[in-house]
Amino acid sequence: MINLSTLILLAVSQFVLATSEVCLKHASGSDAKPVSDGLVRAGWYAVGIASMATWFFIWLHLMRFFDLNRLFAFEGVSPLLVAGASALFLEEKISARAWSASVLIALGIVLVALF
Amino acid sequence: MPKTLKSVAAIPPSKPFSPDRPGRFIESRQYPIVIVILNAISVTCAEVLLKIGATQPLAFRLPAPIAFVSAVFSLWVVLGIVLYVGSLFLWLAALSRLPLHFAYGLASIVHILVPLACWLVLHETIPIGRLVGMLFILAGTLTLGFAHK
Repeated sequence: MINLSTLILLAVSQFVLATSEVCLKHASGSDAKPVSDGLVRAGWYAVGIASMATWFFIWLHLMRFFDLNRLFAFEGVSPLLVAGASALFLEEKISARAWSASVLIALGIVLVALF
Repeated sequence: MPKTLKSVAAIPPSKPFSPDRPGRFIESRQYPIVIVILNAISVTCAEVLLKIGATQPLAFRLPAPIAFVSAVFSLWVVLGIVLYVGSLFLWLAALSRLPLHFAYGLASIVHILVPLACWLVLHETIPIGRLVGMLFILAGTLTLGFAHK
């Protein structure tokens, strides 16, 4: 049954997914922050892969409560969430065009999942 | 030294957005985009292989608590997992060369490729609403691609 706790879990899963992408990007280095030394890098990789695994198991758990196509519709928020996280935590400059592109992709994912 | 030569020489080889230089595809702006597209193709092939593997009869069944692992004893499933792991390495290679929001948005073409592959290989139908969604994603990724400097 879909209730508040499953919806919260759904939101958590998307945040965990965005976290994992940000950690993996931290490990890979960026313009603003070049690749850090071996141990710090391994740490970011470990947290990134661990949070991706956590997302996977939350997602698997959520499949019991939602139809697969309904569940995948919520995946639509991830391009927007990842873009927001990139701007906040990775100091990436996201142009208005890139934001509108993310909105188009998000809408597209929702439509693909629902039909 | 002429000014133009100096400015080219000043670019460090590891700079993520180095300008195009003839004969050096690996340093071109297109190279990381090609990696993201290869990653999406790899995920699509993995999904199709896993679907084929999941629908075939099991070679043999493991006892109750680990019965769900039985699906692994299929060549299709093993190939699918190999491609999934390969796609993770491609993703990490792309991330070191592209901003995250750009790479992540571009990787969404997997939502176009998977329905297309299902239609071509598995003969599933694509409803009109899904087709419209795929066009939205295509428009979004193209906008993102052209916004990339």
